[in-house]
Amino acid sequence: MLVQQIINGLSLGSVYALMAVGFALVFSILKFSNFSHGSVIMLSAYLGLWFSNRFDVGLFPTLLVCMIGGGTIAVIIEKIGFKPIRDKNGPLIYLFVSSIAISMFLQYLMTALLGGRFFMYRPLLKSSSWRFAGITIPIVNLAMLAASIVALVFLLYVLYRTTIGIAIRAAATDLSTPNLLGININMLISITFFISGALAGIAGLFLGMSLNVYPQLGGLVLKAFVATVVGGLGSLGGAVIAAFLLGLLETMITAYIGGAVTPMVSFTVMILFLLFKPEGVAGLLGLSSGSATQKL
Amino acid sequence: MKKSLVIVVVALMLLAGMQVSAAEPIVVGAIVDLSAATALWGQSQARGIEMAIEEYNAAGGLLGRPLELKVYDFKMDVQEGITAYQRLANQDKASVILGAPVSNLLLALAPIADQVKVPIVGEPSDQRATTKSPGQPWPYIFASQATCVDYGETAASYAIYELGLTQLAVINNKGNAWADEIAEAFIAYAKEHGATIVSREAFNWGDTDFRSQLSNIQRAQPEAIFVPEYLQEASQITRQAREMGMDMVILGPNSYTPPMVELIGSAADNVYFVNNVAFDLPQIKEFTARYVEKYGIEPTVNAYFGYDNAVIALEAIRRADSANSQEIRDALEKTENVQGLIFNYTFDPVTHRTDEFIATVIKIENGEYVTVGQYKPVKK
Amino acid sequence: MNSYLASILIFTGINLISVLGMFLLMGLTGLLSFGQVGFMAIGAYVTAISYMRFGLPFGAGLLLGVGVSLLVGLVIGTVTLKLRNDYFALATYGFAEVIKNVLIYFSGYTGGSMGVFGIPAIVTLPMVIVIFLAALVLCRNFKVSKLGRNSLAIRNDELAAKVMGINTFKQKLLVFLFSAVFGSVAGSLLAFSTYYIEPNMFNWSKSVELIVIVFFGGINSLTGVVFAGMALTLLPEILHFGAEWRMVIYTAIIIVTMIYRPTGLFGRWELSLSQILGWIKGRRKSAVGRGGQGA
Repeated sequence: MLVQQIINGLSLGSVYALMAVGFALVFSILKFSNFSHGSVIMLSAYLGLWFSNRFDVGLFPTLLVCMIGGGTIAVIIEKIGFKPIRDKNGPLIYLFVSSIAISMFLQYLMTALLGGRFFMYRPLLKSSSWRFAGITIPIVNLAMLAASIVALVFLLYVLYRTTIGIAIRAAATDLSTPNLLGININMLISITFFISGALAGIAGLFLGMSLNVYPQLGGLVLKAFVATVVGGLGSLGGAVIAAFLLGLLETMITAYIGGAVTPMVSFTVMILFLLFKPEGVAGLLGLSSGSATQKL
Repeated sequence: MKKSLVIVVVALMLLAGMQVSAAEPIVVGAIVDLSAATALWGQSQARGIEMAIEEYNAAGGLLGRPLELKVYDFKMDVQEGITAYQRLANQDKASVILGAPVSNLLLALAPIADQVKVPIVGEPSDQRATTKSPGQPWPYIFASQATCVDYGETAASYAIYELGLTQLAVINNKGNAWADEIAEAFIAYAKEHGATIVSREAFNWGDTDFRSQLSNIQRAQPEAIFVPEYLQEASQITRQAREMGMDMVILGPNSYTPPMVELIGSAADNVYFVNNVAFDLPQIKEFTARYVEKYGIEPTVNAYFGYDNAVIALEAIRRADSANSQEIRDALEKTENVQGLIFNYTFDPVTHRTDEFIATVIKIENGEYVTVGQYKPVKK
Repeated sequence: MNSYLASILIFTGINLISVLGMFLLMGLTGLLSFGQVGFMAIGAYVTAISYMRFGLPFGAGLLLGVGVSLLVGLVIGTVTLKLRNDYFALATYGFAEVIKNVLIYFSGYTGGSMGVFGIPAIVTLPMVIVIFLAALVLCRNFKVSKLGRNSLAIRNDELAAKVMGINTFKQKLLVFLFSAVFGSVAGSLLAFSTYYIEPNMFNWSKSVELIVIVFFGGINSLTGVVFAGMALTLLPEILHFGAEWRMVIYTAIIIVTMIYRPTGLFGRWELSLSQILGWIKGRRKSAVGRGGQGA
């Protein structure tokens, strides 16, 4: 029983983690909560659905299309919704508000276009779960777990071991520094959004496969927001670990106290945690991060 | 530019003039959700209403006047629903208003309709929307559907007396009033009739993962799980339960109607649900075919209710022989033997609802909807 | 008056009162709160329950709601305002979710998901207008007072403000409590004009609507925020012709405006009484004149 609940918690945590890693990337570089991340997830889910049905292809081609599609959508959102504000030196918080308006717009748009219909992927996997010794492991969630960890390792490598990563981190401390060094800041930001969008694409495909595809699918991004903040100091590792802890926490409360009080208990635990560990999960684990000043 | 503007204005004035000279239309209002989470139902309902209005207009309208339908979106927001009602009543001079497929808006509108005095025909399953106090109805609200209590009791009765299942589990969103009311009625009936609720699990708005609750249910080893939930949640719970090897009977409300099987496929097998609509009725089949031809998409059950609500309201106008809201209200109260798609409606003047609830139990078998038959709960 | 117009104006007024609270908090301290609906819920439920169950008059219930909101605000503020700004945003989001959860869970008092039903029609348009104007005057005076200037100093540079001897924590807490009171009053009015309240009315999406209004108008302009509150409440009504595309058009208008006016529709511009008088007397005055003073 406990084993199954731990697996349940990790599988829920994988969903949160996969969303959180892309969310935290923009959060740590551009220092704002990008709620349009949820819309990219939602749109990618539709894209993958259309692609896999239209061309009758399997999991991996669909995954690739979702990643490229998600990345492109995120860059387009940046160019239309954020760049004009950056160009006019609008306050950071307007980027956040713009991201919220964009996510509302895209959700309403898909509802209007498709009449609020629900869709489902045809089976891209042979079976949806493994069962042995009375324990069930959902395969899609396992894939999400793997994807979020691979993505994290990849991002940490790029950010800390490559020139472009160093430039991106320099941009994170001060948007004018790379300009002085002769690096195109808009290019750096586009790359950041593309990677974040590609991660949203992966999340979109897997979420679409395990849930249904519908306009409100992106709403789960709120959990990524929670995980990213609790993760602390814009740390990617912190956000991913916080996402798993959040999944475990919610599952354990639901299993042993009752689902009716889960929000109450889990938020209380989180606030208490932040009171005693103001550096967040990142601080708890001694993870470092590119920048220390975080705003929303 | 200016010249063309003048032409347009003149043309509009001419058009307006022509309309006055013809018989003034009777305005029928509708408040539905077209943009939020229940847009699928709202749109289906609006189209059902539209089809009824078109039929009546094709037959020459009512009282020698054409019918004009005005549909307002309220995006599941009670405040917007209230302004939409006020607008229909005061601005558009609607004679009668057809209501949203959710109860909460009508709970807010019931006392407002008392002052504004334009009747509403909807299908709220929350009995508070039609009953002001026991034995006294809200004068201006009418419901073409049974209550949550009826649904819960029917499901419980069917499980206990027809399927012989007595070890029952219940899972629902504590924040969803509709779901919780049905769940409570189910539990009360089950306990009274000798069944045991071995597990009661809850979740919250926005939840997508129910494995933790389902693990608890699994451990309690019920013979059936009752899932009184909306489409998205019900589909997820059913799918995840099957994934975990829980292949017992799942009982549900009308959320298991199409597109459920389309979404979760074989996971929907061994589901029994209580439906308000018998899909194999000839008039339902005929309407569905016309709907699909017209809109190119399958209707949800809300289309039938939209159509029936419109028919109930329009027949009241015919009987009242007036487009006056007050007289329509009086006629609505005397609704008797009005044939709709779903039922033959007779309103109980004390409850303002259909006087008898006939549920249809449908089983999902090998991905097909199989109508088991009409069913009435066993009363002690 | 046409009751359609009256109900729109009542809801606009109620939204505006809540928005003014958000404006104070975000415009003066730069803190972002997702918790305003939480205080609206407290105001709505305390007033409604005390009226329906204990026969407390509306006015007293409203004050009781304010009291409860202040207490809750004090606890949340004390706990979270010492932390970083993003923790505050998270905490306020959590607070609103917890309030919703509490309302659903303790159904013996609150009616749970079924809400409170049959609340009488006590709130009238003149009442809303009077309370709104009072809130507006309070807000404006707060903005130009020493307290307001201290808050702005915090928003612009918290460290510098500390050096200047401003107790930033106390200052933030004060503004937060102010905004909580506004939210609570708006909630009380809401309950008695929708006649029915349920936990789900006080959703995250409602908070988001209020945040968008504040930034649409501009966090530096009270005039802008009031205008935005009116415009964004009326716009969905005007757009009804769009049917299922209504909210698509609505959000597109918001995005386009935001892109072209990234400091809000009105920037720092403020409308002042003397300007209006000046216009009436036909004197030409610079539109930017007094506006800069507050910001």
